[in-house]
Amino acid sequence: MIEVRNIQKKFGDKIVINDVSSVMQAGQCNLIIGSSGSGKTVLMKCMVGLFEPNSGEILYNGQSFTDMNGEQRTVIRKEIGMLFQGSALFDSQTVEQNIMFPLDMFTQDTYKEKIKRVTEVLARVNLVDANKKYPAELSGGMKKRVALARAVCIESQVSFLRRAQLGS
Amino acid sequence: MTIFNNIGQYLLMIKGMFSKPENGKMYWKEFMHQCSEIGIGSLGIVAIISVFIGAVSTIQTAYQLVSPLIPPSTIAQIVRDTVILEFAPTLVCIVLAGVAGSRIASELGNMRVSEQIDALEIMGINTKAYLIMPKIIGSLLMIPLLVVIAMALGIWGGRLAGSAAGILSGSTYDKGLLESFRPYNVIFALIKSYFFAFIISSIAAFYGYYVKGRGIGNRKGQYKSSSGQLYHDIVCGLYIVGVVIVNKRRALSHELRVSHIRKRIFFNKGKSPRLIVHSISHDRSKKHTKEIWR
Repeated sequence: MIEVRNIQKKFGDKIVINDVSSVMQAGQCNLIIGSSGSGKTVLMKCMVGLFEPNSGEILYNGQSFTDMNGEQRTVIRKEIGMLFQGSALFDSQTVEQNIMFPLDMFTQDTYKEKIKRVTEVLARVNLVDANKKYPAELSGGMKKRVALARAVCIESQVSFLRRAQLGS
Repeated sequence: MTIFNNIGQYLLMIKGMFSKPENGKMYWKEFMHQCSEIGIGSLGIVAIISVFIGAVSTIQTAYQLVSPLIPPSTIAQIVRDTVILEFAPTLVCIVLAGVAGSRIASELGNMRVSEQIDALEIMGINTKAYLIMPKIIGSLLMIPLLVVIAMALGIWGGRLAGSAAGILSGSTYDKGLLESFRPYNVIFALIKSYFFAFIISSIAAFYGYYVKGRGIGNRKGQYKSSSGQLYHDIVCGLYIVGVVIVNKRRALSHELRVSHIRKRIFFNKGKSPRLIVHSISHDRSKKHTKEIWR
């Protein structure tokens, strides 16, 4: 469960989000909807710790994320998958290497096991024959699907999807 | 205030690099990749510049030394010391600030604006340790190696130009190279190159990691990186040159004392002093040299 309590974030004098509170239960799909520039992305980035809120608190399963140090945050972040608006794929790596990256970093699986997992998640996003392609060779929608495959390949507990439908 | 903010942010970035790697193998792979990028990627330009510098030094030194009293082997000595002490570490590092520095800054800047660094952060990876540390350690390993290669190629370039232009023969050049060679000069040049390597990589990484904006903003980051490094190199270089001047002055004053004693020996018909007592008072206000002659 993720709880957002009275979050305020400002850049300079401009207050982007003010006094936002919400509870996101496990097993639910939650939507953040707003007009352009209303602070959807800022709220999401505050929730994953990419921005520090000026006031308020974010709790993951009752634990205050805002009060955690770097190492404690890393433990929480390993359970988070995030899909970025621009896909954020690593340009110098193939689709297969991009998806395999979190598996390489955090698991002790063999190469065969990792390839099996990559093939599985690519099949789920309907990109079976794109293993050896580079991000530059893909369309916007395909990039998004690869990024989605990367976000889910490590079986994260929470997935933040930013404009997941864009380009698809 | 911006400068203090930048210095603080830079120091925090350096501090943030020191953490336990999430996966040693991946860090090692990244380190080897950076060694290849920085070392092999810059080898061509370093080789061309070094040979050219050595060749030009030989020709220009020969052009200036017109006295028949000075043996031609002195040219080799001058080229050797200039290349080892100044050209190889300083000029090569200024070139590398442009080549390797802008590569580091643009790589990190591109990753920042395309949210790749954010993606790594979300995965739970310490991006400072994973992205910056291998670049700095790779530079600390490869740049001094490039400087050593530059020294060798610079001296070889001088020999090549000397022989080709008929200034001095290869054997005379080789003889000059071995005359009054001080191995400490090489160590001193390597110390300089280590400082430069750290400055080049860390400042480029700083500007790239914290770059803001896209397109032109990113290019500004790269420009800031290379020009910022140049200023830091100059400050650092001036400091090191200062140290060299102090050392040289000390060496010079020692040589003057020795020449003074030699003159006295000459005027005393070959008699050398039995004992020289050179005393300086505690507050350095009074100096006293006492020579006891046979």
